[in-house]
Amino acid sequence: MNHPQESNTEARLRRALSLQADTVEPTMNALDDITRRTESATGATRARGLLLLAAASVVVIGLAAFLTLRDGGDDPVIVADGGGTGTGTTSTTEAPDDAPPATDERTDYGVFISPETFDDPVDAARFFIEDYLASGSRPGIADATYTEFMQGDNNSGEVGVRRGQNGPLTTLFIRKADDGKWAVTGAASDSITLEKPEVLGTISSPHDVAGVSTAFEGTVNITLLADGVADPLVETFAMGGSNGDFDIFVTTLEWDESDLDVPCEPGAACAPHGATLLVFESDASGDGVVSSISMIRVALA
Amino acid sequence: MMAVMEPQPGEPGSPSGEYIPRRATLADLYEAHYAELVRLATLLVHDQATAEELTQDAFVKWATDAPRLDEPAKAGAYLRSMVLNAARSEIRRRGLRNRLRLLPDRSAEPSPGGPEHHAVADDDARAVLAALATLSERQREVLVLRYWLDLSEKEIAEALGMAPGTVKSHAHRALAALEDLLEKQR
Repeated sequence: MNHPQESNTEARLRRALSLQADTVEPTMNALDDITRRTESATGATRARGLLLLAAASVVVIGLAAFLTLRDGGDDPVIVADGGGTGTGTTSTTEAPDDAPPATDERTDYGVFISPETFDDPVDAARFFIEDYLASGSRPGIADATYTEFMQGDNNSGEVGVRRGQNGPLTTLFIRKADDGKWAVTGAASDSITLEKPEVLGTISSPHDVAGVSTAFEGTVNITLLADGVADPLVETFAMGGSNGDFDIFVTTLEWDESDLDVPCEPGAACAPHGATLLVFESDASGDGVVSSISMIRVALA
Repeated sequence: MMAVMEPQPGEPGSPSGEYIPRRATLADLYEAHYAELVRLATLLVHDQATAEELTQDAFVKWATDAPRLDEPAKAGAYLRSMVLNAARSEIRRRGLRNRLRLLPDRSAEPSPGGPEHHAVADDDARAVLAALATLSERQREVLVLRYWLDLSEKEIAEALGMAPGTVKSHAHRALAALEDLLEKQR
């Protein structure tokens, strides 16, 4: 192909990449391996024993403890241990004293996923799974079954949710809003532990998302939803562990300021824009049904 | 550069004219895209074995999601995006492994400038590839997609999940940095 407008550097780069690519000779008959793995994946059952989950929990807790020690406790770690009423250390970000006052009224639901609140905490859980999570291209957790509300203190508690009766457990964290009613603030999956970003942390594009997971074909799906914005800011995925083996997943989220409902002008001081970060695994059916999910609230700088 | 399947009856460019999306089979997609995607992944992760592994992962993932992505053009874009994302994850995992020292140390993990680079006999090409390896991950991805796959800014934006304007700025800065590095080598 002729590229008359290109500089010398561009031409050299094009040639170098072409020469390097030409040295790669893909393995013959890889289609057989792909076909075999596909048949295995679609025919496999996803049952996992309690022993495997216990072993996985040890790995997760060990990794979290290591990271905490390594960072001298400065870097909050989120542990999906299924217990307690939160997902680990919580921090809020405040503007420095000498920062100019915020100039924009941007949408921010604070610690909650949405302004909707409910008299019954299980209804709040149901709203998250069947309305919030299931909207748009996100099919949500099909045939969800819910545990009873397990109250922690007067203002918070948990509701467990599974796909059907035996699906993997996702623990939803529920808290009372100012109106005395309940709403969801976070979710923790036994199979996906988010290490970064931190809960209620302030993030800006680009920003790394990292954690450990075990999921079907190693794939965890990642969606970033800005408060009050219909379309996801980011929809992507990352590769972690599979078949019960936990491994690290890492990817970088990038989004455009212009996609927020009130974009911040360059150089202006803007209030944070609330957002929800969803990291979830889909089941083996291929229809995109969510089988478990970890979710945190963040603020977009 | 991109391998293209021949138009089938009922597809754009076919004699019958009427557009009816054809369901791509795994064999179709393998024939059209596998070799190219392995090469693309190798350019990014510098290790053909890993490149093949993550390319095969992408095909398996496509096959299990096939009911939603069976148009050939969409399937090809989906596979490319899968491979790019997996290559990025692989590079990050290597970095995290080294940093955390938690997972088995893959001493065989290649680095930029490793065997795949030395396989290129041309001195100038080796110099360019070495300079390319010093750029950021995103910059390298944009340049590889632009100058090896010949993708447009819009296609690169879709493949990498970023805005076309971001692609443009990445490409501009990456080329300037590359030019600067190559100039210093003189």
